[in-house]
Amino acid sequence: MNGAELLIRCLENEGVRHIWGYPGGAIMPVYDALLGSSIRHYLTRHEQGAAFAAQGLARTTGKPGVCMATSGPGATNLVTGIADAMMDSVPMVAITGQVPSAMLGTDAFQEADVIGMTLPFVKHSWQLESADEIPEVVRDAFQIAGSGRPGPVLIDVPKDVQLALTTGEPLACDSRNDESAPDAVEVARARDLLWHSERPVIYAGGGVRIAGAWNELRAFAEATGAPVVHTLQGLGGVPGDHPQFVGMLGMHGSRAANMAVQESDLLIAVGARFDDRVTGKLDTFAPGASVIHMDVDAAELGKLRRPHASLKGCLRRSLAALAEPTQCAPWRARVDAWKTEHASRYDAPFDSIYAPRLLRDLCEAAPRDAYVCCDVGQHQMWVAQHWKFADPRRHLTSGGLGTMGFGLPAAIGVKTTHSDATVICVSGDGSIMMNIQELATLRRYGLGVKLLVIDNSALGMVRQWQELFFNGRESEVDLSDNPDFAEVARAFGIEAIGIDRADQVPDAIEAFLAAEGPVMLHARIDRAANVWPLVPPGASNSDMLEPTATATEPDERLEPQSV
Amino acid sequence: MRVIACFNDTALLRLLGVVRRRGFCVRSVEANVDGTGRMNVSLALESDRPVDVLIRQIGRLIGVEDVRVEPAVASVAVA
Repeated sequence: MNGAELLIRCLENEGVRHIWGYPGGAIMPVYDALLGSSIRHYLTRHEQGAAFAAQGLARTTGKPGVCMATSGPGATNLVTGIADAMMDSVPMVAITGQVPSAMLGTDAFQEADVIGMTLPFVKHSWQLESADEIPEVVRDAFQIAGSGRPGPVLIDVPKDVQLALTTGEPLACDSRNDESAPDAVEVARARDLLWHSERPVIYAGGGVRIAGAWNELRAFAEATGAPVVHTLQGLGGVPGDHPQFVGMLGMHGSRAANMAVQESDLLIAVGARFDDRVTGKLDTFAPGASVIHMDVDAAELGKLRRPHASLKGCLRRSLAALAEPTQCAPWRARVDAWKTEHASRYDAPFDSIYAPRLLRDLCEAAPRDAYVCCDVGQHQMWVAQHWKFADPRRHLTSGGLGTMGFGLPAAIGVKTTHSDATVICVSGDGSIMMNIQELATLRRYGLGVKLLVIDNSALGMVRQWQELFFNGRESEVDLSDNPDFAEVARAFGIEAIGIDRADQVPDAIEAFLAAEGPVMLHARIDRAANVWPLVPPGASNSDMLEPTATATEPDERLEPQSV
Repeated sequence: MRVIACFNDTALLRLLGVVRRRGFCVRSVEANVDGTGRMNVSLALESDRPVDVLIRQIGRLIGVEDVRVEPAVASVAVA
């Protein structure tokens, strides 16, 4: 057996059933070893697509996704997906071929120092020197990727190591994880803070999904009675229609959620990291609040905001340890009133498609357990604001790195992992072009992903910022020469529906959800549509901008209507 | 700051990378590997950021066994 065959056997031993990748010269022995393996390989049309597809598995199962590429450009093309996984704490094992050991450092054909270039955003990495190392490295790679605060790891395999003969055998899997309980003194301190709080708010982030702690979060919320706000990655931690859920907080959060946080006297941060898109101007964030911070990663505790109680350890255990009644009923009533007063409006009285309403209607028509993969931009924020997620693994979005092009390949990874599930990708006309080649992957494998492209003929979020913060001086945001995306989809052999009027939406949603195979819904919207509300960059979350009455948004000066 | 870690080809790179990315300037560095394969690194650092957070960030690196601030170094260099 050679090193490549041993590598595949070790991956099988770790329970790997799917790999996304792209072959090339320096990884050909591994691709040869894949033939006859129990692992199914999916050929994406770009290595970045492979990395995001692997994230599709990882974000929805909690298990490491595996992607593979050759050396040089294959490896560099994986890098964005690896960095994205690091920022959002997604377990991933990336495998790259490498030039033969003797040629390392000689500027050989397709040589790139992938170990060096990924050091900032892997949990760990290995460049193999011997085939005999493979069993131990693969075991450690999966253990490290999936444990504690998950993240990506990289195994770089020189071609001579792939070809070297070995007598190695796979090692038993190492499934150790950090299930440690929080420190008892800190728990007592946190209980005291909770007991004395009159205005607590639960601020829950992506750690809840990662820890599989949404049931414990819900139990904690219901026991304490405290309002819940979510970060982008935390959405679904408590269901979107739960009465204690106030909304997303931060730059594009709801006014009620930001008001609740700003007025709180106790902020209970659960698997959240005080990201700048959440806090706005940090020293004005929740200015009167004490902080209880729960996280599995000690390095997050006190990184940006000093906690008054630090619960380092398993979130499920930390939440259970604090699930006791508080005295916040009057506060809940205040927050509920804000939530009603500032509820989203969907009654835009215009012929053109109003994206928030389209998304709300699609959410209501789609199965509750549908997976929704987003790209990055205005549509991403509209999904976050208007989709009601049942649990956090149903929402896949590139939050930390904010990578345009994430959505379609991530949806491919989800659909290959959960073949019976409804998988919807919501993209924009900028983002879809970042990885549009993966339409060929959809077609090749007949994956019934439902792709909604919200097309405003512009890089909408950048255009919105230029309008608001650069005196309307538009610079390189015009995409009015986009192709007809429905025609593009059809050219790839994918069914497509094109709409540009509000009255076409109901029938289009029905056809979109009824389609058996891959389908695109191309919805043209008004170029001037903006995402509201908005905290200007660098401002306090108390200083949210609201829409002015325009041709594209509901007039906030009118009384809300039932629609 | 003194760091003890398992030595390998990339251990020092990883350590220095975290220090730089997290907003600390390295004013001096001494490193050696002992007979047990452990790397001992002494760093003089400068930053206005809290060093306890950096200690925990370095502590996340695979193979790091101990990180501590030595008072003599800290009083000179670390906020």
